[in-house]
Amino acid sequence: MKTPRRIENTFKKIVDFFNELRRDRYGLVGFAMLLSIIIIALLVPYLPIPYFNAMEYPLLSPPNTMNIFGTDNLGRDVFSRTLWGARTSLAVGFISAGLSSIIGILLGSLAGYFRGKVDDIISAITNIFLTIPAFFLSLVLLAIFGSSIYLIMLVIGLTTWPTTARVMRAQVLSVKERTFVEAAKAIGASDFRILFTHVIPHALPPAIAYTILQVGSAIMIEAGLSYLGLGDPNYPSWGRMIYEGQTYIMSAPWISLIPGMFLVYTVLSVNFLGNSLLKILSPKLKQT
Amino acid sequence: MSLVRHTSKKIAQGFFVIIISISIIFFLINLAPGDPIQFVAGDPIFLSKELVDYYRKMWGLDKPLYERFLIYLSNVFLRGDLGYSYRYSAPVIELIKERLPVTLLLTVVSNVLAFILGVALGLYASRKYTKLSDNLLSLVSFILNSTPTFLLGIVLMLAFSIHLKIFPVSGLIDVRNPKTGFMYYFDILYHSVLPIATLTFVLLPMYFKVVRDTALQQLGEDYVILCRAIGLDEGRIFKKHIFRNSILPPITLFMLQLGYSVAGAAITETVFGWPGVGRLLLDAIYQRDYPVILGVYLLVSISIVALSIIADLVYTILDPRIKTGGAS
Repeated sequence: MKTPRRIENTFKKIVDFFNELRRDRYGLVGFAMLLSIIIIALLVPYLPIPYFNAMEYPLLSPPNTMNIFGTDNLGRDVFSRTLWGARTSLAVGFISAGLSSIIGILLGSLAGYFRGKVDDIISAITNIFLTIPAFFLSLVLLAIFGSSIYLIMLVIGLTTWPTTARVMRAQVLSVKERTFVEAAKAIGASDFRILFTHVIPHALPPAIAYTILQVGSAIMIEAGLSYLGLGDPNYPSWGRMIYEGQTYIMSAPWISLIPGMFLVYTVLSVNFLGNSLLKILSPKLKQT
Repeated sequence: MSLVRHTSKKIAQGFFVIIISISIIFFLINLAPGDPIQFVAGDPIFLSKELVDYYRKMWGLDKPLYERFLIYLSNVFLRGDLGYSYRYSAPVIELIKERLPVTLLLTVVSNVLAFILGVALGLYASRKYTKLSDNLLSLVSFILNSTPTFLLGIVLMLAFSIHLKIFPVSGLIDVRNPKTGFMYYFDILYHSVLPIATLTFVLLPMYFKVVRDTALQQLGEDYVILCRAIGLDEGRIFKKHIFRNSILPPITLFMLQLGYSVAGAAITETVFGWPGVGRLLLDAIYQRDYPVILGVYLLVSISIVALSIIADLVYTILDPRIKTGGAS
């Protein structure tokens, strides 16, 4: 009896959400841009383009009919490497942002729901992580433990959660005081059940917006790490391409600039989308 | 009185945070695989045992980890001694001192420029809310915000150094120029235009957004409607009220950003080949120069914590509405 209404409500909420998104030009454009890059990333293996590591072309040739974005110093096709790079960047972006959000949402909700000692300890940890420059912690970890794509995702996830935790804590603090939580308590629901079925779902929306924004910053961090030579050499990455191309910036600027443009395009799409989600999903900003 | 108590509590907390964050780094780098000796003298397999033991003893690596940690802490906090660099055989504090002015030049000037531009453009955009100029500024801010520092640096270098040949490609000085007097400082200034521009553009969106958002929020307040109702002109409302109310958030941001500046400048320093603290840290990380890594980390953590306490104080003093750090 109850389930259909719930599904109907959820469906209505999603429709409402897209209606609001449609009114926000930036959000809609960002959504379309992100969708285009995701489609490219998914289609790459099936496209008739050379393998990203194939070194079978003239070195440093400018964009021409055979290699539309030119080739790099090892005779690899820049077009193919750039498209494959989209997979790396999106995978790193979404997985590390997902990880960071899960940690942030859990710690933030626990701190906000239980208050007291739990809150003190979690807040202290959050403060410490806010003080350590996350980028340098990632650098140290990757430099000493060797860099692999999985370690990069893990390290970005483990160093970027404090923002989400703070937002989530504040949200849970306010949701906790609402009547339906009191009602659940009155009928004897356990803390665990109240937290996960009533409080977190209601407190979640702004955290979702922050997750999307986090995707963009994770992509930027991965590019920065790759630029400093700490990326995973087995996967073509935009940051790494820019780093490798810098030596040839005078004679062959396309090696750096083309992956650079894709990088900006992708991060921009995520920032557009995340920002309008933030406007739609967080009750405080909506009024202004 | 309670302001003093509030601040001393913050300082105690800050000290605790610094100790914890330095221990995390200390144990992480010491538990990591690889021996610093191999980065200085080559693989230990090919070295005589005497030489390896000599280095171990000299660097204090022969003692157990917890003992090394206690020695390090007491050296740092009781004697102000950050230890010796493995790589350069020089005191870490000297290495940092030597490079700090370069980093400060880059970060302080960029932050000041970004602050001024951000406040001016943010206020302008809020005044032209939803008009063409506001939309354009917001779009540019979005794009800058989505551009990694190194890419922006490379693009500026490509445009202004390589194509237009206005500015030098990289470095802090030109070795052919005199090392003293006016020309020396002019040379540094000339070399710092592009790095400072890069970092300014990287920081600008943050300041712009915070000022624009605050100003827009202020414009919705009742007192603005009142000001308009009694016939104050728009320019006066902005100058007297909106400006004053929108200046606090960017001041706080300025303080916090200065704290992160050493870390934030590292990539700019790399792109333009500047011998700053960020670069020192990067090299130390690649070469396992543990005392240098720890020293720079400590410096960064202390400045972040100290500046956030100062930011809190400044906020409390400048904003009469806040009674002893009411914003928790």
